Amino acid sequence: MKKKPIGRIVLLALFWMTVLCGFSGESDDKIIDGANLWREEEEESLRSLVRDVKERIGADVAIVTTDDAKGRTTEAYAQWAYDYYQVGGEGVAGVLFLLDFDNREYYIDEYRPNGEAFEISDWERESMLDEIYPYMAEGEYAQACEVFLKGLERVMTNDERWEEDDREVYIDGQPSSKKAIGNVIGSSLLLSAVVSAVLVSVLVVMQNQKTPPPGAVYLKDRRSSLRQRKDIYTHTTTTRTRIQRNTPQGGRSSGSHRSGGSYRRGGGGGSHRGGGRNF
Amino acid sequence: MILNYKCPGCGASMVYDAGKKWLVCDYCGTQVSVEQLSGEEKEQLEKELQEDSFAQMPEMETASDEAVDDDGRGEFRACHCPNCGAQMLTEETTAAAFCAFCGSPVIFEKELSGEKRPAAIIPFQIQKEEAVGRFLKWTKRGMFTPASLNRTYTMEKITGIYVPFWLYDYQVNARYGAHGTRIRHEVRGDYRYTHTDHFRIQREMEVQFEKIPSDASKKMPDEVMDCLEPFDYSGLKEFQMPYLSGFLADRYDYTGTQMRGRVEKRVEQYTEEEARRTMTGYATVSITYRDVRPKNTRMMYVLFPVWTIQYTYREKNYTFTMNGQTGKIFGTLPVSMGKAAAWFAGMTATFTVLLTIIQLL
Repeated sequence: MKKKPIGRIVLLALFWMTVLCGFSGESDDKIIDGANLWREEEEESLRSLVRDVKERIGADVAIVTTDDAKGRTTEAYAQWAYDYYQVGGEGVAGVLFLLDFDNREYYIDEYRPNGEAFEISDWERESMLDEIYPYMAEGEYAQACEVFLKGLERVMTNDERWEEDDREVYIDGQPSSKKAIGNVIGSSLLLSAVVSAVLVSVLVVMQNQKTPPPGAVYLKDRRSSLRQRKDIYTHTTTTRTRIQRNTPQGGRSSGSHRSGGSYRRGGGGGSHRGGGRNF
Repeated sequence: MILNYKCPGCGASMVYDAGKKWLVCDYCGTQVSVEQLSGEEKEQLEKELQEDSFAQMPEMETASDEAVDDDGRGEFRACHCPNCGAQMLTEETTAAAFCAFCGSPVIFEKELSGEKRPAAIIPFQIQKEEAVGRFLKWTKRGMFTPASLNRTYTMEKITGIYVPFWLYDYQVNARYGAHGTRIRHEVRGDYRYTHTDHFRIQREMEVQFEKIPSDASKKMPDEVMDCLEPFDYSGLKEFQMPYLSGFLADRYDYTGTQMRGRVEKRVEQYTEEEARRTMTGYATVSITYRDVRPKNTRMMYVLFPVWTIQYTYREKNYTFTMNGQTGKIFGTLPVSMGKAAAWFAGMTATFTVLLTIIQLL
């Protein structure tokens, strides 16, 4: 029996519809609030922002919150959530922003289908995490997500592409960009100039300072006579101070975070890369 | 009476040589010891000089006794040089000087006799040439001293002068009360404990000081003279006028009684230093009570040797003083802005490199 081509046409149409609808329907505006974080108006606002950003960057975007990572690390949970909530889709790039209240970490995960280069570089992701941190630390999670979306759009659209030289990037408290290193040298120079000025002034004064000899020079027989000597203990006063212990905290200069991204082959043959920070 | 020691060989003026410790004639090389001039020979020599002086300048005695008041700036004395006869104008307290015209050294015996006669003198141990050499060596050690400072042609004048001092012996009875603390640390759990033990300290002591100097000249700043101390008192000799020949000298402007107040402040300070030396083993000591009773047991008028060096550098005058016995120097060296800037730049560069490396590690 001769096969009719109409079936292939229908399949092809469905395929393209799926592709074209990859950003709509169930994968549209992925705001997954597992932690019950958002108020209604916040969720609406985020959905609107996500929608706008998705259109501009040409990739899917999801914001996920959870207060139970089910024993997973934040990274593992992000990648699981990416697949579970079908962010992106087959052959479609996507970015997931996870707020993990179980592990107290926020995480950016980027997925690229096979063969595609990652759009977000390590230092760009670090810069985004830097910008987000103050809001996470203050508990302003909605604003944190807005900052994430704005940063994502900036990175992915090249409109105000961050150049490494333009950013002060600090990783684990150490400068990693040219601008940051320049700032380190500048502050060192300023401090050195102040210290040198003080030292030179003191040396100039000391050069001309003279003191008369001590009185012992004129002591008869170089000794004195002690008629009475009493050292009487009266009382003791005690103060105590708490010893500061180093506790891990989030932020750019302390606490754990991963940079450079971690890679995992996605289910569709693509790869994940991401990084996060404690808060 | 004005004294001028003349060479018995050629008649030129003789000056005291700090190296040879004799009076020396610069023209014929004749040397006469100071002791030789004592006793009958000295009296004879002085008498001859006096007769000669009167024969040549009969008006001199009158002139030397006349004090000229220059409107409150100090008493001045007009007299005639025993060597050339030129009129000399000196301050009333000047005991030894030079004739401005012929350069002969003259000694004003009137300022060094009776109650104005010093009990002792430390003669110059360092000669002029050696003083210049020591000074030039001293200028090189300053970090910021301009290089041109130690060129001799910028040195204007070097003068040897005997400065009048009073030496004081004191016996002091003192009692002190003080509060002292000792500190211990202890760590227990999450806390660091600081224990401060408090003590009441009492000291009663008797201290004897001898020969504390205080300069009695208006012209020499006290703080400068203090910084030239100490003088080596083993070099003290019985005062004899020939030591002054070839140097300037002043008799005292302030009596021993007038200087006592200043000295007693030093005595109190020295006594407290001694008391603090006995309060050992404490983290902090603060004196809460003092009862210091100094008693002046002896006072002596002496002359000490000092070299003064006048320097001009970039149209600014500097004065340095040197202990004429030990060579200790006091003075304010000029600062070379170029050297200071170079040190500043070098230090800044070094610290910048170190700080940058530390921050990037």
